[in-house]
Parts: sequence; structure tokens; C-alpha cells
Amino acid sequence: MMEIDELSLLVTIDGDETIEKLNVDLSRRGYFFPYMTSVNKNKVSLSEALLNNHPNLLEAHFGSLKDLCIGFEFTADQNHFMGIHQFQHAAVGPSLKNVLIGIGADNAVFTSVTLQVIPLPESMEYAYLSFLSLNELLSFEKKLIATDLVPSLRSRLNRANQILGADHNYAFLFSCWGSESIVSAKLKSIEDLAYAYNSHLVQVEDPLLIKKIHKQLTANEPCPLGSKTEVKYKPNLDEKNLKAEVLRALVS
Amino acid sequence: MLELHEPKRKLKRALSSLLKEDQWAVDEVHRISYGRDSCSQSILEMKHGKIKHPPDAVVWPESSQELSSILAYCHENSIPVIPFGGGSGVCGGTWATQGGISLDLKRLDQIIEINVEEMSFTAQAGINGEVLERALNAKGFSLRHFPSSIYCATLGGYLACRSAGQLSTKYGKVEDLVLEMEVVLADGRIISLGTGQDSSDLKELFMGSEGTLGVITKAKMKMFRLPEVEKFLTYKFSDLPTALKGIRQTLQSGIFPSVVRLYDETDTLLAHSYSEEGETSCFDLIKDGFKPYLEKIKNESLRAVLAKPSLLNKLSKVLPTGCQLIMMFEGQSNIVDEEINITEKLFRSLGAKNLGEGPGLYWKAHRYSVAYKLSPLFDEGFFADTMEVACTWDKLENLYEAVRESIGKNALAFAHFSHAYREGCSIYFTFVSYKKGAEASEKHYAKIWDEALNVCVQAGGVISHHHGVGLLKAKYMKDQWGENFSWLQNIKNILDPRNILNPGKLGLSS
Repeated sequence: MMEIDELSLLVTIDGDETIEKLNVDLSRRGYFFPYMTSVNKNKVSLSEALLNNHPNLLEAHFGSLKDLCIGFEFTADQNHFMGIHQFQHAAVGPSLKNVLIGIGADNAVFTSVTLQVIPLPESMEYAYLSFLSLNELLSFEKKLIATDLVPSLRSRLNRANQILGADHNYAFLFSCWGSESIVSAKLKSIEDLAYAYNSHLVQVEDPLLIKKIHKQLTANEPCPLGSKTEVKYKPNLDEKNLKAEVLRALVS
Repeated sequence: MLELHEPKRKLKRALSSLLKEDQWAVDEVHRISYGRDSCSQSILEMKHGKIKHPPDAVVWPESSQELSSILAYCHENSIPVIPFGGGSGVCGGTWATQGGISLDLKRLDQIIEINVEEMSFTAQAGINGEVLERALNAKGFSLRHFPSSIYCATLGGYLACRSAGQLSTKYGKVEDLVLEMEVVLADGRIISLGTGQDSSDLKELFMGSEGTLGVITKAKMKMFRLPEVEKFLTYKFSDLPTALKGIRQTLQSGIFPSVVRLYDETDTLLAHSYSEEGETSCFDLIKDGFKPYLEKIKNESLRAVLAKPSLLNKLSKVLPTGCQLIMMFEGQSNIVDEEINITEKLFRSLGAKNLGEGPGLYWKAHRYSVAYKLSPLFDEGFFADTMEVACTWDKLENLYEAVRESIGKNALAFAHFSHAYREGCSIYFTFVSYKKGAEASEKHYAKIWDEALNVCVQAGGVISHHHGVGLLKAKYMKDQWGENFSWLQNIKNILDPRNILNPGKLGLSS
């Protein structure tokens, strides 16, 4: 069952719905839930995504799962039910909604969720820039992060000359979504930024190549821009203890 | 005359053993100064010679470790501790309702690191907002968080109250800008949050807790490069619903101006009726403006008008004033131009009239002056305050009408809509009223708040978008949170079992 509030662009749906199915249903009505996770390729249920707070590959453009999930019905230990439907940008105490997203508790389920959706983007452009060395690519990324040009999706690719037929080995793949004129302006600005590295923007129009790039863009969690290493997830011990206390409060 | 009881000798002995001589005070001047904040109720009470909530002592720790020792001592001895930043809060969040220690964080005021690669900085919680912003600007960066209280508020105060800056539509509220936090718990334990990248985000527990669950001592925040360009649009819409539609459709199309300010008919009327030199805000009218205004029509006439506020409030609805909308766009020049093109096309299709950049530039030049010009009103025997509520778009017009009607029965009321999001928006009401005599004024003030916040909750709104709850709105928290309030109370009981941290705030009990 899906309910849509067309004014606020909010959808309320069962928590066991998959993100893939949700987007198929939404697209028929001209909407899109701007969340993509590399974990299990969007076949994951909304409840599972919320419990684990899977990173959103589209976060730079549309926000994290915490930003996009506006409210929910939640149950812990099968007999503690909570409904959270408060306007999320409030200053009325801590955000219980955001504490529970990612809580990862056993026996906890999000039974119903309310999500922010957006109109289907007018334009989705795919492009890449190739660089002589990894250091040049990283240096370019650092420059990019300091602007407000961060693309909707982005990834790095090694062996780009073999895979894409690029000029150089290292490529920065990306995709910009939004209204046509703004996407064009963004592509132009990103290209300008890359001139300093003698890198030329290649806009991809071949559907097969787009598919290949899209696959690459959604294969992994995005690297932090400018960082050579993937983030390792090591929960801080104190946070872990505090989390246990939060859960105790929830079911007490 | 104020009469303060003498603090216990044991407390003085403890403070002198924990801190240096210049790090604590128990004299009347300090206790009176820290017994109030910038809440209109505080100002009213001060005008009437009352200081209801003085602490027993004021302390200035100079490190997280010192702060931890103070909390450990207070926890051991069940002494209330009230965290204090800049005292710019407007909800009584720093009132020492049970005495105890006012914990001033302003000596924790260092920027620890600016990390250009990560586009982040780390600073102690007591740093002043404007000092922080200027230090970042000197290196070409900015937090892009500009609350009206920036000249006196602190970073820790921003976080503890979920503050919003004037550019929140593009950059988010302060909770959207924080990466890591250090918090000292009631028993003195120091905890780092956000560093381990656990899937849960327990920073969310302390942001908005207003010092009731822990004391925020340090934060790592996002930062931004100073924008290449800033451009303004001002449009006049025929009515409020059309203007709100314009804002909503702009944001939902994926365009986020940094500033969105839509003035209702009364606010537009007052702003336009005052200055011939340019546009002014309603607060300018009230402050700079009310003095000449008062001279013209005399205080008694204004009091007579305010005695029948509903007539004045209805007047703006029948006059064809329209509603003025200011937007500021910032970022890369070519992208800003495209965003403006799309937005203007939409506004023209809604029949709005372009007023150029002037009103926006005027607003920017005067954007902080409002908060400092209320005192003359109180001097004349009037009182004024602001109330910021919020909800999703589907309920927004109803919420506006309901709260405006409630306040309008008792005061001159006007509003602007700002801090807009894809799913909703905040409404910022301002009200001015008058009653003869201290008791009558305070009673009338309480009545306005009581009725309006009840109406807000019934209409599906939140009772605060960015000012917080403090003591002023504490009694509405159970209605606001419903059954979930028991979870908040449970958390309080677990983290602060002796209820020493900012007792009474957020409606939490011991």
C-alpha cells in the first residue's frame, strides 16, 4: 500500500518493500526515491536499509537516508511500538528518528516508513575525466569537493583506457542529475576545473557505455573525495556502550 | 531589591579546590547576570525587578577535563549544573530553576584544526559564532551558518538547541553541518561521537538536548569555500498561497536558494509603509521605526490600537498589499544564473511582480539588527516576542492561519516564512502587545504563548523550528512528543539519574 502526499512529496509505504520495487511503482507516477545502496543492489528492504543505515550513493546530491526518511512506525522486541511522524527539522529535543535509523538492533523492524520523493529528473548525464596519475585524479577531487559542483554519483576507475577507451589510465566517472540547463552548467564548470590537469570531459551518450558506467558508479560505496583509502567501519567502544543504553531506554 | 541566599560553604570550598580563583564566582552581580537569558519573559521580569532563577555559582572551565571534574563533583553531590554559552537563548533554557552551578563554556573557545582536504574544522564549544566565522573567512572558508544571534551565540549553543542560520535552505540547520562531537556526561565521563562511523548516529541524542543529557564541549564541523557570487531576487505575489506555491515548486524542482524569506500581508504592509528610502523589515519598523512612529501617534494611541489587536490584524487582510518574497542564491556564477532563470520563469507564471535586488540587499545589510532593537519597546511598556513553528507543506497554510488567529486575538501579529525544505517550511511569528502593570503584562504574555502553542500542536506543527524549548515551552513537550516522550524521559533517567543536568528543561522530570 502506497500513500502519496503530493504537496510535501512524501510517500508512506510498508517497511518490507524493496527500494527497487518502490522506485518502479513511483516512476509510474513521475517520482523517484533518491536513494541507492551498493548493498544487495537495492533488493534490500526499506526496514533493513534503515536498521543498518546503508550509505546512500546519491548522498552528495539528495542527502542521507536520515534526511530522506521523514517518519516511521517502529517495533522493538515485538511489543514496543513507536510511531514517529514529527516534522524532522524541529528544535524540540533530540531526534529520536535519527537515533533509531542505523540502530541495528535484533528483533527491531520498521513496519511502515514515510519517505521524501522527488520528481523524476529531467536530465541524467553521464561523463568521465581521465588523468595521467592517481595523484592528479585525487588532486582534482580535492578541488571539486571545495565547490558546490559535487555530482549526483561519482566513482574512480583504474584501467580506464582499456575499459572505456579513455586517453589515460585513471578516470573520474560521474553522473549529474537535475534540470537540463543546470546539468549543462555543472558539466561545463567541472570541465573548466579539469583543464588545469589537461583532462577533457567526455560526455557519454552510447547506451551500452552508459550502462557500463552506471554499473561502476553503483558498484561500491563512494570513496570520501580526496582520500586514497576506503573508510573502515570501526565502532568506537564508548558509542557502542551508549547505544546499548539507548536501546535499554527504548524497551524499558 | 533582589535578595539572594548565600551559597553553601561546602560548594565554595569545592570550587576553590577544583578551579583557580578566576574560574568561579558566587557574587551577586554574576549570579544575577547568569539568572536570565534573552527570553522576552526574562526581560519583562527584569523590568519588573525580578530575577527568578539565579544560580548559586558561576564557573568557567578551561578544558574538557576540568569540566569533567566539575560534573563528577556535582553528580556526586547532586548539584544542578546549567550549561551556559552566550546567553542568547530566547526560551529560558539557561534559567537555574533549582539553583546550582551555571557552567559557562566561553573559555573553551579555540579552533583546534582547519582541515582543507576534508573541508572541515574542529573547534571548542564555547567559541563565539562571529569570531569563528571571521577566523574561517580569513582562510577563505565559512560555516555558512548565520543565526540572528551570531554576535553573542556560541558553537555549543547552536548544537545544543538545533539552531538554524539564515542560509539554512541551502546548507541545512546546524545538525546537518556536524561531523563529530565530544560530550561530557552527567557523571563526568567524556565521550567522542561520530568518530567510529558506527551505523547509528548518537550525536542526534545530544543535539537539541539543551544540556539535559550531556555537555557538548567540542565539535568537528563541515565548512565551505566562500561563494563566487551572491545574487538576490525580490518578487511581490498577490497572496500568500500563491507565494508559498512558488517557494515549494522551486525547492521541489531541485533548486535551493540559500535564503528564502516570504513576508505575510501584515509584515509586507508594515515594511512598505515605513521607509521611502527602501525596503525595511518589520523589526526595523518596530525598533528604529517605532521611535519615530511613537513620536507621531504618541504612546497612548499605540496602546489603544494594541488594545484591539484583532482589528489591526484584520486590516492587512483587506488591503491589497500582497506578499513580498526575498531569495538569495549563491555559488558558482553560471549555475546561479541558471537557477535564477528557472525560478524567475516560475514566478512570472504565477503572476508575481519583480521588485529587483534592492530589498534583498537591504535585508542583508540589516539582517542582524532586529534582535538588538527590542529593548526600546520594553522601555515604553510594551512587550514583544517571536514564535517559530514548522510543519510539512500539506498543513502549512492551516498552521499559519490557526496560530496567527490565536496570537492575533491578543497582540499585533505578523509573520514571515523562512527555512524552507522540500517537505515543509517554518513560520516565524512576531507579536507586540501591551498591558498596564507588571502582573497583567506577564499574565497576558503567558496567555499568548499558551493558547498559540496549543493551537500549533493541534494543527500538526512543531512548537519550535530553531529556538528550542527551554522552560518556556517545556509543558507542551508531552503533547508534542506523545507516547514517545517516555523514551526521552527513560534516556534522561539512564544518563543523568540524579537529574543534575539543566533540570526542568525540555519538560523532563527527575
